[in-house]
Amino acid sequence: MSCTINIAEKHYDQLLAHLFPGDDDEHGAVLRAGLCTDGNQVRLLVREVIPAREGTDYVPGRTGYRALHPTFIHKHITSCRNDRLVYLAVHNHHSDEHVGFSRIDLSSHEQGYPALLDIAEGMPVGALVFGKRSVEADIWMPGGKRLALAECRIVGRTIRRIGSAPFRGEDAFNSSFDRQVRMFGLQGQARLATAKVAVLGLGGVGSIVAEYLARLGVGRILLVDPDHIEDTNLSRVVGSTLEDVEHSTRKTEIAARHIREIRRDSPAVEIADDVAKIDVAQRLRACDFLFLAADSMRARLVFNALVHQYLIPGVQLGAKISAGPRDELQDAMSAVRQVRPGLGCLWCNQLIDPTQLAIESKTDSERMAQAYGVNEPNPSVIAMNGVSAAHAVNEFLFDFLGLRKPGGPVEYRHFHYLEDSAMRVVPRQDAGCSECGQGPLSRFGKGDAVPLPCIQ
Amino acid sequence: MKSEVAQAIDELRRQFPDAVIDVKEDGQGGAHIVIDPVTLSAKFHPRATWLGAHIPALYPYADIYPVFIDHGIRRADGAQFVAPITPNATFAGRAALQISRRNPQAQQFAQTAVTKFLKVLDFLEKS
Repeated sequence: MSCTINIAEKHYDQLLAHLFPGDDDEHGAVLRAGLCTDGNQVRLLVREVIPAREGTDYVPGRTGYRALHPTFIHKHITSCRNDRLVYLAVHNHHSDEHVGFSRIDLSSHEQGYPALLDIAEGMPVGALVFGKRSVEADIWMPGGKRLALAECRIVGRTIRRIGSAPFRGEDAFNSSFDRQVRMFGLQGQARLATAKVAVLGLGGVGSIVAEYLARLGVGRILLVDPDHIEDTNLSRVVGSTLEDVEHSTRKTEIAARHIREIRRDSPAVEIADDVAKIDVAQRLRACDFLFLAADSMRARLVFNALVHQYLIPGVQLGAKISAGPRDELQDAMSAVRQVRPGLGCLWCNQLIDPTQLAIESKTDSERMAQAYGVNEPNPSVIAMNGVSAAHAVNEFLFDFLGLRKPGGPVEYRHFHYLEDSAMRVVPRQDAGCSECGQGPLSRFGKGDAVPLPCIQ
Repeated sequence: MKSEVAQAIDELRRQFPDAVIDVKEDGQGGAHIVIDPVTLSAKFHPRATWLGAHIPALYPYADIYPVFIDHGIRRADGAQFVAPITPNATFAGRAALQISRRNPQAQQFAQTAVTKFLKVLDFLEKS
C-alpha cells in the first residue's frame, strides 16, 4: 500500500538546502503535513518545514548515527495532534536517485512509532528519507496499516516527481497518441493517462479545455457544471448541437458525450452540480490539476481554496469583453492565470470580490428587488475562448509533464486584442493571507483538517 | 447553518444585548437576520429602528451587503437621504430603507458581522 506526498516547491527547496548543505553529512527535520483521504487514496500535503538544529534538535543517536531529540519530537508531534496534521520525521542519506530506509531506520520506527501514534490521537505519523533526487516514506496509519511512497510531487510552476528510484513509464502504446508521444515520450503519455483533472465550468472555455484534455489522453476528466445548454451557447460550446438545445441537455452530458466520441476508455466523470457545494468540492480534493473555467466568484473561492489547502496546481482562465455606454468595444481580453500552492493566490490578488460573493448568494428576486439586476450575460466569442483554453492546456502539458526547467515564475497572462498586446503579471503574495499564507489560521496545506469555503 | 454564520450571530447578540435577533436560515448555510430594536442618535426620527441583512453562507469571505433599516426613519433636519441609502426596499417582509455600503478592505482585514453593522451605523450617522 502506498501514499503520495505533495510539497510546494519553496518548501522542497528549503528542505533540500537544509538536508544537503554540501557537508556530506546527515541532517534532520520535521514536516507538518495535512492529510487527504479519498477512498483508498492517501495524500500528505506539506504545510511547514521545521529544520532540526544540529546538536540541539538533531543529536547523536543511541542506535543510529543521529536522531531527533525527544524534546523536539514531543513539541512537534503534540502540535501536529492539536492541529490535526501529520507528523513526519525527516533525514537524509548520502545518495542521489535511489534511497531507502536502513535496517536501523526501520527498527527505530518499530520501536518508537506505536507510541507516537498514541500521542497523535488518530492522526498518522511517519518518516521520510531523502536522497538528493529521491525520497522514500514509511507512514504509520491509525489502525495498523503502513504505507510506502508511490511518488512525491514538487509543485511549483512545473510539477516534478520523485520517488525512491527513477520512474519507469509503461510500454503500452496507443497509436492515436503517436504524434504527441514523438514530443514527450511514452513516459509522458503514461503520466497523462494516470492524471485526474477537473474542469470547473463547461461553457465556452471549459468545453474546449475538456476536448483538448481528452485528445491528449488524460486519464480521468471530472466535468463540473450545473447548467443546461441554451441556444445562445451554441456559438461557443464545443460538442453542442441543435438537438441538445431542444432537449435542454446538461453541459456535462454534452462534454462527456463528445469525449466518448474520441476515447473508448471514457475518462469523463459527470458532476452536474455547483462546485461551491460541499459534496462536489470534496470530490476534487485528490485531483492532480484543476482548470477553473467558471465565471462565478464562489467558484473562484472554492478553486483557490482547493489549490492552497490541498496543494493542487491549477489555472484560472476566461475571456472578457466590455463595452462602453454607446456599445463601443472598450476591451477584449483573454486571461490565463496560473495558481500554485503558496503562489498566485486569487484572494490576495483581489480577484475574488466579496461584494459579488454576497450578490451571488441572493435569489434572482432578491437581486431584482435590491437593484443588482438578474445576472446579465457577458459578451463571449469562441475565438477568444479558444486562446484561453489552448494556452492553459498547453501550459498544463509543459508544466505537468515537467518539460520546462523548474523554478520559473508563476505568472498571469493577459492577451489584449484591441491593443494587440500580451501582458505578463507576476502575482503578489500576502504573507498573512488566509488562503496561501503561512500564518496559523491560513488554510495552506491543511488538507482535511479544515472545511472548504462551500455552501451547504 | 455554517459555524461561521452562527458565530457571527452570537457576536451580534453580545453587541446588541437589548435587542431580539430574529434568524431565518437560507438553506445554504447562511441566514437572514433582523436585530430589533437598535437606537439611532437624535439626528434621526424616530430613533428606534431595526437592522437587517443576509449573512451569506460564504461569510466572512462574502460581504454582508446590503443592510436594511426601518422605512420610517427620517433625518431630523428634514434632508432627504441620498444614494447609497435608497427607499422602497423590503427585507424579511418589512418595508425598509436599503443601505448599500461595500466593504473595500475585506481581503486585507478579516471582517466580522459586528464591524459591518457598526460601520453601516457610523456611515448613517455621518451621512
